[in-house]
Amino acid sequence: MVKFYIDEVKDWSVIPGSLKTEHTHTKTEYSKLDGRARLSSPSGNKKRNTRITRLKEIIAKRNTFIILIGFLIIMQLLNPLFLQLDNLQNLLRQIAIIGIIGIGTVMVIITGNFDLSVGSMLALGGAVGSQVSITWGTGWGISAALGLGLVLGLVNGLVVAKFHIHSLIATLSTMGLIRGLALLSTSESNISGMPESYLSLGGGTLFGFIPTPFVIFIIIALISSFCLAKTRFGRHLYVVGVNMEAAYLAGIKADALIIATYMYSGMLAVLSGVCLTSYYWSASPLVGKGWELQAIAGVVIGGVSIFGGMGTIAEGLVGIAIVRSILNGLFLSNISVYYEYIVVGILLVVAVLLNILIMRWRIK
Amino acid sequence: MSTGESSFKRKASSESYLLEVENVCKNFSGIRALRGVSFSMEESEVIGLVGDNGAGKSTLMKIVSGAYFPDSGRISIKGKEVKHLGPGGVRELGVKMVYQDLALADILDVPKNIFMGMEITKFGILDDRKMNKQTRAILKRLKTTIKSLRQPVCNLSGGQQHAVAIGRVFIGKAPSLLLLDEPTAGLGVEESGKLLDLIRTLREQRISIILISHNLDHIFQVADRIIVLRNGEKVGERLVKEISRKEVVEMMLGVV
Repeated sequence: MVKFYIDEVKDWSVIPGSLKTEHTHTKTEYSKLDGRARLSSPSGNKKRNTRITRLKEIIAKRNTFIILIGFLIIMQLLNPLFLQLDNLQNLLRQIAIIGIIGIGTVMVIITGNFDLSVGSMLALGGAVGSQVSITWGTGWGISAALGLGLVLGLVNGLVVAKFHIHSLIATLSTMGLIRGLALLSTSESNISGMPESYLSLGGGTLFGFIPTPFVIFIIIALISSFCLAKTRFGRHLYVVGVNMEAAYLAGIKADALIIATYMYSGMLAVLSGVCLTSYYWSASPLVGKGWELQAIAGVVIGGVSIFGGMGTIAEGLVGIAIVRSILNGLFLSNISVYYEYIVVGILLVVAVLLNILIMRWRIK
Repeated sequence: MSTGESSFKRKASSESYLLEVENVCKNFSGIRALRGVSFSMEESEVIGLVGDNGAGKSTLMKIVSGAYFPDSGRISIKGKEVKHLGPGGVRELGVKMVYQDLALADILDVPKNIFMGMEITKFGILDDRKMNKQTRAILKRLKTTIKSLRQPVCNLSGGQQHAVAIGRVFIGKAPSLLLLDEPTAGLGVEESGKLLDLIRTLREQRISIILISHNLDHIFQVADRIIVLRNGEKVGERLVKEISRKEVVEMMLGVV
């Protein structure tokens, strides 16, 4: 029977249809996803199509910086208090403290993972930093906090990269675990009485106007942005986020990179906690609840893809500035703080929907 | 079963081959993908590796390229045993592979894909200008035109994506051994022809090639030697001029 088959089909190249592996199909799927391919088809009204393409391009390239400026103007028109020095300082400090977290979040999301434990790490870092600086001095306090952040990040990174547990589950677990540690370490109460030098970190200003945390934030953002855009390390993070397998085959050590991003994210989260506690003059184990959502919503609104491999630190931080400006506007309008969670939730859903649409159109 | 061992001379064991694979076994959760495969190859030789689906061709190539580690057996490149080097380490030894699924990062642009894992830096800073320039030169050499290098590779045609994956071979040092896993799959007649020409040119430059293909026409056009795998075992190894297509097919299906 088999022999007959061979004699029948002399030209072997006819057979491969049945023998070939499936990988050719994936390419046709891409072209289906590609908006331009569909739009360039002869069917339909050409004029209308080009208008839709233009609209898609505008949404896809959403120049978030212009949106941010627009927001600031609207806020100012609605409430003249908005751009007053006091509130502006306050806003910059808020953007800085959550922005420091956001830098780590951008890096983790670019590798295709999430870090939900940043809010808890912020609380524990602030608590440990405060307590150590009360007994041993500010230098030791900050060092202990940063070291703790690196260790917590290492744990997150190991669980995700080495044990291959989905990052959402892994960091959801550590989120609860670390919050518990924060409550334990403070005996569920607020800590105060930090030395003057510790307090100046969050409450001080540069040139009597720019809040110190904002200066720290800008410096870290510039360094991180440079590393992400201009070094092999940064380039490899994108590759890991797009295609882990391809990264491995190209000789990129994906595990080490993922662990490194989690450690960086952990360090920045505790630094943010130190800034926050020093500004508040007290460390509460309950701070930073829901901040991971704000950070993720912010960077995704800014244009960082939740699917990994796409986005820059600048984009992510502009997104965070937009979220904080909206929340600040709500605060000034005496709207209950509980709406904060609702607004962040809505923003996150909208951002993810936009993200999915843009990935479908593949316009960059 | 005749394996055709007599049809070509073996070197004395003291001399080193370019690649030596000895008794390599690999299991995937109970499935025996490779059961003791051995072969060796010399400089500027083209080997066609054939076999039905699941015969273990890709697994064998991935073990040589460092993507998989063998459960037992030895791989030596230029006389040096290769152990747990990974794809990056094996690449350093001069072995490069073009994977069947191309292994590209689809939403990144063309230069980023061509230089993936091999980026050029100047004082630690990525030298994008140089990488773009080399990308254009490589695509020209492969006779492929891509309008904008900035577009993500998923927007390219199948042939262009192939060119990007093959272009990766020309980055850095010239390889001494090139592994091509189904490089003509999904390509048109003209594009396949270009690729076979490229294989011939590379061999003239003393680069050895192992070619996996389901298209025996292509194998017979460029290969010097054919190795046939079936169910993870080497069932035949012959010089191309000493074997007919029918015999190869019979070996693949085990009807002898």
